[in-house]
Amino acid sequence: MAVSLRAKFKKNKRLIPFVIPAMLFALIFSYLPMIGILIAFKENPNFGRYPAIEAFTRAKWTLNNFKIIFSDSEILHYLANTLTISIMKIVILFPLPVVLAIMISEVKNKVFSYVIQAMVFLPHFLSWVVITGIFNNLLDVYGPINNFIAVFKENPIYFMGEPKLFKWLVVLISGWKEIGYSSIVYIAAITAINQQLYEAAEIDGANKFQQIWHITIPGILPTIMVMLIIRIGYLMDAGFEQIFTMLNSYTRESGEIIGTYVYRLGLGTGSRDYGLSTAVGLFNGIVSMILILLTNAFSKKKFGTGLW
Amino acid sequence: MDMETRIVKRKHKRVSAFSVTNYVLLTFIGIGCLLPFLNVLSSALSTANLQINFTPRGFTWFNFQTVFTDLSFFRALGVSILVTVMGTVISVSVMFSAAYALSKPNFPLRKGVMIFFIITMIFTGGMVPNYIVMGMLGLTRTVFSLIFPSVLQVYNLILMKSYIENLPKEIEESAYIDGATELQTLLKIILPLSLPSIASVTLFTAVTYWNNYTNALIYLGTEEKWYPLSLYILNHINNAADPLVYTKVDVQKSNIESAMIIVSIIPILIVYPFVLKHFTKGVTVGGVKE
Repeated sequence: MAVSLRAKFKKNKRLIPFVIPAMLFALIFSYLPMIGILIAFKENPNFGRYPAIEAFTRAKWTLNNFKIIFSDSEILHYLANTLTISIMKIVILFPLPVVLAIMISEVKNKVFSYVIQAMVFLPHFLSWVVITGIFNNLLDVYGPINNFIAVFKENPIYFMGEPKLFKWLVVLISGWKEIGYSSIVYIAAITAINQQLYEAAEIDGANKFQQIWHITIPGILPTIMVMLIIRIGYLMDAGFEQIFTMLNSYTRESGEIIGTYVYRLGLGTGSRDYGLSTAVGLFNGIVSMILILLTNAFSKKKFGTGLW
Repeated sequence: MDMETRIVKRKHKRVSAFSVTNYVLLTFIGIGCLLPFLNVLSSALSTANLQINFTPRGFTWFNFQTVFTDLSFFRALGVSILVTVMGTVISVSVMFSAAYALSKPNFPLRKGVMIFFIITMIFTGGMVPNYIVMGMLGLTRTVFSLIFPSVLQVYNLILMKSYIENLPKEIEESAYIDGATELQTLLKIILPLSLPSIASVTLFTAVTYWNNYTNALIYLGTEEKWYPLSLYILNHINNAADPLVYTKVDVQKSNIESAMIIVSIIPILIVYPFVLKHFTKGVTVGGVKE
């Protein structure tokens, strides 16, 4: 074994320079920060005042940051927000791309199909800044939605500043952006279903709904299951990029998630607590990693495919 | 005979009822995806007016003129273009060259190197450690902090690697027999053959760079001269007046913001047809594979 590895090495060493740049980027920008996790075990190092290494060595070692995570009601509240938004996204949004994919696959007119796909995929390619800007406009106190509501109700609703509506808006807007794009994988899976099954079903007198229920759905069920399992792996990610652009002083309480809290605490404009922020981030990172590894292993074992 | 045709006819009718409903619903969904854009466009073309219902009120180019005479907007646009071009070129070349090496089945420690890359997909140091490391490297508050953290795109590496693995081996082998070096084989044979895969990865990387605002948010601090368009617009949105106490000036500002949003979408709209093209290709390839 050792010999064969050495032989391999000798024979292919000319290939090694080709991976070096990528490995350097991984080392410097992914692995080096992993050492920085040690900051979580320090009593708030003063990075503002001293150079990084000195600030780190000056700060005392502590486990206090982790005690705070499990006792601080604020952090537990943000954890609850994260899980609530994530679960709402899965329960409400997960089935919709499947429905959309089935609808698109039933379209026989190629031009119509292309145009519809172009329309529904588009929002995915825009930044969250743009999407939130667009919805600020649409849901403005004087925007079209409120102009419509004005027909029935006197006072306009400030949607983006209404704490009770915040989580629902996050789900709605995230759905508007991603349902179309998420349907691609199911559209591809439906194309792979054997067409003869439909022909046979038609001869047997099955209507469209029966065909969808007995052929299409079972045909793409493995894909649906794999996507669901992988999605559950990302439970701890309620959508930092989206929620950060949507939060304001009215909705902070009901909308702050772990990700945005880590940012505000460690890098925000107020007084910074680097130690606690790193600890909360680390806690979040470890839970996500475990979830992703578990769900991926499960998916690979059960359905033969996973993330990698 | 007669009955058979009747059955066929009836079946045909039922199918078309289904598809009519389907076409109508899809049309509504498609319009629903476009209406919000129409509203922003209308706002961008309106004179300071509150009630905009998907059509401009008091048509004007003023908001676009304001955006295009705003030097800080132009600077942000320039930063976004610079970062997108440089970032995409660096990322795609670094990832492609790694994909080439790792596509060779007898690359030493191939599996270990792949795991080394995949780990970065599932675990990160987190915001503060990233920020501290970037500071130690002297990269915070520089344009490089917008480029370097996003160079490593492991998913693109996996995509290009499997594309190269599926290329016919014979051409490459004949190049070796002719005495070509690894680099020559890569540039003269593998690169041209991999162009479809490189093109789609390039488009996706460019869109990622163009849309990214978190690198700027985390690493730039108050260094506004390197703010990309995304963060520039976000700050405008965040600093906007409370809609509950709007004044006429605030309304004007919100119309100008809409114009900024429209301008920032245009580059995406320009590449979008190519994205769609590559995308349908990618999907069919995936379909065949399954």
